[in-house]
Amino acid sequence: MTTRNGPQKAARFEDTDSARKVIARLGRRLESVEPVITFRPKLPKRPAR
Amino acid sequence: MSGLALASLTAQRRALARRTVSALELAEEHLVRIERLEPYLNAFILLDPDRVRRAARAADRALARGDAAPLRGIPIALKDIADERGLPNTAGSALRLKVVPTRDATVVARLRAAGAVFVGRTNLHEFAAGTTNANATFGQARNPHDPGRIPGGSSGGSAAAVAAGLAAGALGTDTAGSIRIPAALCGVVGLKPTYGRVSRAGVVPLSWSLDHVGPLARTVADVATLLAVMAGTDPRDPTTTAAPLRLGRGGPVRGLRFSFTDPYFHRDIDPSIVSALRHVRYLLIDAGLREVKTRIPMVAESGSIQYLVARCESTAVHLLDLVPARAARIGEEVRARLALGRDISAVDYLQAQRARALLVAETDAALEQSDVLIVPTTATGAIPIGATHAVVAGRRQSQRELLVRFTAPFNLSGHPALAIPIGVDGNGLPISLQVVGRAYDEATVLRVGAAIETALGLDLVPALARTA
Repeated sequence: MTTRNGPQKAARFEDTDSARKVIARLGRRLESVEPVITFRPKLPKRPAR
Repeated sequence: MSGLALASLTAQRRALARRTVSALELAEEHLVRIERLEPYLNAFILLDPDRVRRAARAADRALARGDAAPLRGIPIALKDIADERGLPNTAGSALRLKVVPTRDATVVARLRAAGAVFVGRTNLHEFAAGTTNANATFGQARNPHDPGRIPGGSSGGSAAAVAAGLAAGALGTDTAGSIRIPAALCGVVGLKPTYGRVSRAGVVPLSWSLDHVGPLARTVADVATLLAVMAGTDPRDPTTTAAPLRLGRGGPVRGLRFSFTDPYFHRDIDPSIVSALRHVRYLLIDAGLREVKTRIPMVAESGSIQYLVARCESTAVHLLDLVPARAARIGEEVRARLALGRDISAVDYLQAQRARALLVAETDAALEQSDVLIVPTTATGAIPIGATHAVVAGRRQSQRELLVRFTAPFNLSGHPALAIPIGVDGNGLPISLQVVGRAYDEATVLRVGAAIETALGLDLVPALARTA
């Protein structure tokens, strides 16, 4: 039996399908969340004309 | 010989400043030790003793002029993944044997400007894409506490060199635990700073949003000294930040709050780590810290989030290395791992990055309630070379699961995490915990780490290192 925090899930550490399913189970919890991205706009050195 | 090679970086600085040892003498002592121990450890990919002596002589001239640069004359090892002008940067791969940068990585330039004497370029898991340091081109780096066991990875050569007294400190990189895991298995201190604290420019990437650069050394104070040199904004790396570092001279820990946090971090771990953590809990309470309860439920999903994010980004980073003519020169295990991202869709990647945002928010919330989180670094001490699994706490676990499941969450969240030794396991091998703090609050992390280090008073110098 797999529990949410259980060891069985941790054992499936390197498996694309399992990882995908784990994220899919989060369902609507993801709806209001924007993804983490590293893009950070830089300020221009001079104001644009 | 000065006998300083196993002393702290801080003690070496003091001796150099007082001129009781010259930079050249210190460098020669390290070169002799490297010559004696390298056949057992394979900690280095590239050694150039003449270059080391030239740098040491230059350091002596600077010291004679009264130069007080913080690392002047200190022997530092560089992971062979950061550009060092004029020397090949292989990233541990046969694909990069002829890649010779003409410019230092920003972090290398900062160490050089601070006066460090670079003693050699250290072995790593190919492309930093693994935790065992089984390198198909340069061979297996070995653990100085037991050369039949892994040093951890990917910065295994850096950790082995520091533990064995072949360098006073080292540069490492950490995408899922690659500074902290080898620090743990080799019995030294390793810091993954906050994401953006240390520039990654000139360091071969593995996974852009997870890669961190940081120091390894034998004491918490030494790591703090190295961080102060390495940290800072860099126009070459837009993720770097101007957040002030504010590293003081220790300071009281009384009144701070700590949390052993989510049960995730305490399941299926070696009993010796359970005992050592319990001991640390009493020490922290004795020191006047207050224990609070926190939870990070999303950490249970961290393995899956990390898998999807890291696999996608590392496949993109190495896409041109994966064309057949080049891929054949990558070690089989790393080649397979780097290719996994091809089967993950952009939607899967973005969903994982959304889940990651939840993990970040929960970790931030836990760190609102507690000043630091205290969690194990790994679930076990060093495992034998070649072992793919080990039975720990009565459960058969993969080496990757044993080593990265407690470190990777903080690559996802970006929070600073310090690995420090807390004793030895039943085999006499080092075990470790992490002190995790708020973003950009390395100062508190280091303060608490120093308090634990002082209270424990461990001496984890490997027997092999004492014989050199």
